[in-house]
Amino acid sequence: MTIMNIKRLLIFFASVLSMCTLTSSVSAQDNTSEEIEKYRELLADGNPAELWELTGEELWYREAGPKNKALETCDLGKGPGIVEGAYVEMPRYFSDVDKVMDLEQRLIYCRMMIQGLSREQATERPFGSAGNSSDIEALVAYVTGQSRGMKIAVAVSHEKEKRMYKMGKRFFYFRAGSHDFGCVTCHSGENKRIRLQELPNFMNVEQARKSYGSWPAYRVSQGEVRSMQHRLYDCLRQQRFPEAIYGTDLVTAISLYLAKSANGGTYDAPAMKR
Amino acid sequence: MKKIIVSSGFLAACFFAVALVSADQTDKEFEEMLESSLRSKGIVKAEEVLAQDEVQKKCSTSGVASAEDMKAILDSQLATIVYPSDGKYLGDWKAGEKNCSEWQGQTV
Repeated sequence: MTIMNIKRLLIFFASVLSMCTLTSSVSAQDNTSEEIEKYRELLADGNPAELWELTGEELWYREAGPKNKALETCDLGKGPGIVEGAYVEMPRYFSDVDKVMDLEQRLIYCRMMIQGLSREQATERPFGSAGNSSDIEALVAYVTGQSRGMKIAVAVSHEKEKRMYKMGKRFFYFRAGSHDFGCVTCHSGENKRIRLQELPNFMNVEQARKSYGSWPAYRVSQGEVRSMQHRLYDCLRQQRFPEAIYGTDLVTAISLYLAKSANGGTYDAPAMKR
Repeated sequence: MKKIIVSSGFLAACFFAVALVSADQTDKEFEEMLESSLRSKGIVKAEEVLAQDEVQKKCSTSGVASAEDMKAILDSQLATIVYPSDGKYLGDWKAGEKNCSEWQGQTV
């Protein structure tokens, strides 16, 4: 099947789904989840995220930037160029920068160091939109896809990882803003939802594993693959919190806390979501 | 014996001091992380959100507050509710409808 055919098929399924959601927007939560589950099964072999993974792989090996170098020597924690299994151990401590980084911070670092991009260039358009695809989301899709089926295993053993974890945990419980929201408001109890969207309870290890292990994901409603940075960026927005600046430490700290909660789970992403 | 008591008292004081310093450092590190990672956008002002009020501070720990504390927090907040002075509880529903359709509940 050619990419064009796959694309056509996807557009067809997407329009079927959007019609379904339009006509059944009043139906019960469980019902919607079941329908989305069916949709996922239908497309199990054709998640649009695969297109992002393919593009990301191309970008990974393509020479680019002022130094005209590919990213294949980028060390994601398991040695230069080793992509397989790297994501399930991130965020992690990197001795070359003496810092804990998540995947997206590490990609910024590699693109700056190896390809010679400025920080501004390396953080340009982290989140894509129609007609403006994001290289970062594609690279993230490729790298994360290389951990599919593996166990989530962040270490939290280095002193700096422990500090970062502590910061992330602290933020999870940090309530502030006009609505007194914290992560804990939505993610520490059973059967909570926003509109029709179920919310994972991070106190429940099975739900933590399922949730953390399914990001990044192709968002049907947005037509893009969304990274963990985007997921948390949008959580913060809905919390009525200030905007998370892309590639800064807070999101890495939260990610590390969530990843640790999901340790031992099977990583199954890039996935597909509403 | 006295010596032991004195020195263990001193040790305890040291641990206490260490604990204080490390809590301070953690607070500082946390605040710095928030300040460097978050910025104002639209109607959401970073400095306003990050300056938690007393209740938010109390409710930002992973532990469960004592029944006494919970009651104190609840009572303090119930006391802030202002009911309509004219006793009319149903306002202008059209204004309410407009708010519902046009606002995003203070998100940006």
